[in-house]
Amino acid sequence: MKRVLALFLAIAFAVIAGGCGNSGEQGAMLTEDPNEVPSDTYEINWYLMGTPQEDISSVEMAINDYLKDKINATVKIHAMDAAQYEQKMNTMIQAGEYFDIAFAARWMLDYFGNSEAGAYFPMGDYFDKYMPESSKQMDPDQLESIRVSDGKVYGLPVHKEYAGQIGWIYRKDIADKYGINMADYKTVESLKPVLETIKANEPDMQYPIDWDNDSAPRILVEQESNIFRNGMYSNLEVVNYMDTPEFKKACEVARDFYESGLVKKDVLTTHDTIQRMKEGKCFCMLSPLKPGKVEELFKNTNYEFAQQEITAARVDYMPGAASMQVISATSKNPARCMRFLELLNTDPVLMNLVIYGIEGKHYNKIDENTVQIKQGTTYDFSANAWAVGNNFIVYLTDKDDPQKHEKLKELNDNAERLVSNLFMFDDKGDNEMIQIQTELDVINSRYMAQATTGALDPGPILEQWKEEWKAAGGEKYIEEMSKQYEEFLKKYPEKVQETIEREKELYNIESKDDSLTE
Amino acid sequence: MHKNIKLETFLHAFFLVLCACSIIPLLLVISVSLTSESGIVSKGYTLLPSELSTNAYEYIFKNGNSVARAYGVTIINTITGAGISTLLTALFAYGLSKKDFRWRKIFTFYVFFTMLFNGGTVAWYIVCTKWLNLSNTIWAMILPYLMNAWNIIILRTFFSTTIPDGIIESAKLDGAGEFRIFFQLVLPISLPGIATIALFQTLAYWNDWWLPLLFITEPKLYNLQFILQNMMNNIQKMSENSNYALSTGAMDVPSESARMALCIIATGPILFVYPFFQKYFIQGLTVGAIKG
Amino acid sequence: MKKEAQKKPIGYKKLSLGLKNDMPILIMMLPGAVLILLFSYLPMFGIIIPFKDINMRDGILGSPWCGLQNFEFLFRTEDAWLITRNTIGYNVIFIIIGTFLNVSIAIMMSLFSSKRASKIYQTIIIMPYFLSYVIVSYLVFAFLSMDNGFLNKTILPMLGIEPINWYTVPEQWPWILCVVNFWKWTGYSSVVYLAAIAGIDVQLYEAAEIDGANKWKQIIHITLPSLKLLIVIQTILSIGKILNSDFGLFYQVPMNSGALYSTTSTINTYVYNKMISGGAKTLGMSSAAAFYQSVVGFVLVLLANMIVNKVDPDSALF
Repeated sequence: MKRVLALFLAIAFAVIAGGCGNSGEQGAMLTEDPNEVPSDTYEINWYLMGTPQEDISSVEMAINDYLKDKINATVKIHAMDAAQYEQKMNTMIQAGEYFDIAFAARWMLDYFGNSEAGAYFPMGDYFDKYMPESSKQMDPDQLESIRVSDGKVYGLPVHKEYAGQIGWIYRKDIADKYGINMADYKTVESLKPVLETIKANEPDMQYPIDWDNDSAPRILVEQESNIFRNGMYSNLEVVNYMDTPEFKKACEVARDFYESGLVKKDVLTTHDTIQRMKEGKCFCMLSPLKPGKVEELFKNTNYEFAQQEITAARVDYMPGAASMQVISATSKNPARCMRFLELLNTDPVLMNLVIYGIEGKHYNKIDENTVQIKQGTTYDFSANAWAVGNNFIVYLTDKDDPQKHEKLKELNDNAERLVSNLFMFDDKGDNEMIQIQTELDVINSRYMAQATTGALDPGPILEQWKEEWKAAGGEKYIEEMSKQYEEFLKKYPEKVQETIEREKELYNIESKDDSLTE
Repeated sequence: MHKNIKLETFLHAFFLVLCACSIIPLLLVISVSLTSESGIVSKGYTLLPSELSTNAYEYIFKNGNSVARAYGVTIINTITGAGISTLLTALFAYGLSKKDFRWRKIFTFYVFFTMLFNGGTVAWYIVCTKWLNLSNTIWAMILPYLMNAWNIIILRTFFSTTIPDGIIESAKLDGAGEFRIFFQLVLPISLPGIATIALFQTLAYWNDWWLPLLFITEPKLYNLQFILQNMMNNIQKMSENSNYALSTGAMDVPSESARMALCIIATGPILFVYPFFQKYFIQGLTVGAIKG
Repeated sequence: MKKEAQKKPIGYKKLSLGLKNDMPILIMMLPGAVLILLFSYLPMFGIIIPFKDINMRDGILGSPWCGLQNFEFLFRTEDAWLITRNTIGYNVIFIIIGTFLNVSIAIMMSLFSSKRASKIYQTIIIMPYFLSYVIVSYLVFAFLSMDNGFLNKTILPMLGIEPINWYTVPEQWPWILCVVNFWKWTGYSSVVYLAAIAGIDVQLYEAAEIDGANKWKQIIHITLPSLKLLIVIQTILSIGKILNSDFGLFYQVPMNSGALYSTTSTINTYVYNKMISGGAKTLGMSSAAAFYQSVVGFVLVLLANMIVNKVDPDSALF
């Protein structure tokens, strides 16, 4: 009896001790005057996605010196590679662990789900007060696209290009050697003979093309046809993307390449595409492109790389949700964090400190907006500038196209905008729907790599996938989404008409549902 | 005792096969670590190097700045962790083994219950990070493993069966305090038990990748196993400054063999530890693992 | 344990006296007790998480209760059955075959007339026990890699079999994991049994020898009965942990490959994978799985112990 009693006491104690929830201090901190330098110093714990850099401490010190007279804050930067970042941050969020600012997106740290669950701070409510400039430089569509179902905005999109193209990144020297013009190859399958030639003649390139889950042939389908990236919509109709012939075809192409020995055998379990490219083991890879992408990815390599776009430019689905900075609900001083983000996105000095480190130590300045990164530098975060802040105030390197920023802006302005870009499924707080959605996400992410990398025969995988998808309530989900999408389209009759016209022209397909346009 | 030749021959044959099975995987990895990159490309991983090369080891010594640091972290963790842990476990187990200790039953149950029931990883993580603030400290890789119920019970059993009550009684009569009795009498005669626990804990700390996976994001605090785990997918992780260090040339980077070489480097020391403990290990387990 | 029951339990009046006598011991135990409290007892508050509809704004305590909803969601998924089946299935195999292997190897080792031979063999077969699962996953990879693996490049071609992409074929993994598990643990576990055999009174064997019993009879009539206690205890403990799995084995060795989940995911890896990939919304389900594991495991160990208590009270744990 005593033991049982002791046990209950122990558990009761644990429960009580464990129960200390979040404290509601945040409200009080939000009175800070945005124009005054606060008297107390606050340390901002900032989690970034990107390869950790060796000399981070001296850069932090420089940032702290710089911030002292501006917002009296210090930063502690925690940088992690994508896989580790995802694991660590999800764990932190689940545990309600304290952090201040983090990188999040539609595809990373479940921006929408976690916002609804209250993991992030609703910074949108304070844009006017603390972040007037950085929020206004966005395209309004960008902010609109990250509005969560409760009507609030929980993140600040990274100001950069929000449109994209798909294309090749390839070894220019090899292409020249064999007289290959990559622009001629608009599909993955058309490249097969070229790769076979290279495989036969270049002993270093046993596997001339490489991909992993994010660069498998399917990404071309997502961009080229009217199917969108999160796998659920067509442009005017909601379908299960994984069940479309285009998707199936892409899986089969991947399988064919795999079986022909054109892509490495361990493609499912290893993710070293860029590394293999750098080491000269591959000829090309498929990748989402923007002006200057190659220069960002392949700095200081021994080989000459180039990029070739093969699709038209399109504004991203949810153009603001691709890359954001969010403030944690556990932050002890969200006001200071917002002021920091405001500064980061408007002040080139601060932004470039974070990206390139310290002038003279990590890079030299060539002219006002151009830098040269030092050989063997111990700090260079530029490969991940797209996940940090305002890209238009980041200095260019001597290897970049001097017109890069203008080209990025052009890309934004000229890319086509699809009507479905702003549609977002609303679970309406229905626990069952939330559950279905979560389950589908799990199932989709489990099967995606298996089906699309070619390591497995896609036929049975797709079957199994579909079965599980159905069992998890996929059809119900699509049905509900169709309903909402129909409602959504009614708000934009002209855009719908436009889309139908363009689709007829582009893809020669019948318009699917005229009733929508009235 | 007369020798049974047939039986002995069979036993030797059987154990030779068993031993071969035990070490072949390790031999395979050693061989890969000594094979040149081109050898691997043409012949795959083989039990004997198809083209001998020490390139991988040279490469690690030249570029593995983070490997060296991780080695340091692992050694610090192992020494402090195993040291403190063995001491605290022994102190605790000694109390449980004393028959005249009134709280004995309560404390035994206190330990035993933790073997039966736990609150889940998430809650445990919350305790470690939110209340104890262990994230990104060296203590995150030391504290959680210090007390282990199984070790306590083994050592308790060891104490209660090997220490004669008479010795303690007579020492008490001589006016020795509990601490003196523990350090001057109990510890020396319990060496096998202590050594067993020390070995368990040395292994636990040396081989740990779970705690850094959960609590460490600061590259300076990564330990060996964690770096190895990260490298499984990508050799890049070996050098912090990956953008520059590795992009030297196609076959210059022995990425296949270097991973395996690092495995060997990370495993080596722990394999040499066992012979030192072996003398005590069997004896320690003999008494400890059997219920008292 | 029963003898010291004569000692009076701590009563109200005796408390001060008891404290005074026991103080040095209590001080000795204090650091350990605090650590156990912190790392084992405090986290027990986690048992309430699955009953809450967690939202991060209000924290764990502040979030509303939601009854058994999380369990409903969990058991509606196919995963729940899959991970239960895998966890229990592997454990049953490990317990049955493992015990057999460990005991027989220990007995064989005890038969060597030369202690040196037995010691050398012991040192070698215990080696895998010293390797971390990260290292083990590399060793396994060296065998199974599609591009360069020893099996695919050397063994299978010799046998004229097509290479197999091991990390994508779930059907192969039950035996791979069993082999890896026995490879890693048999050496160590048999040493535990060997230690028990070494503890058997030598006079018993000498007497048997005089009576003319051969080795086999000695094993049946002396060694095995002496090991009974240890075998029973080990088995009860294993049954109590039947819903737990060796996380390293199931997470590191298959490299957490999604293609293999149908035969490699266990409750532990499921909970962890939910924790690292789901964010705030999967907390309910993963903690429901953890709760299920902990509570059912607890009940199982009590049951196992109760049965043993009925059959053979001396062998019971408590």
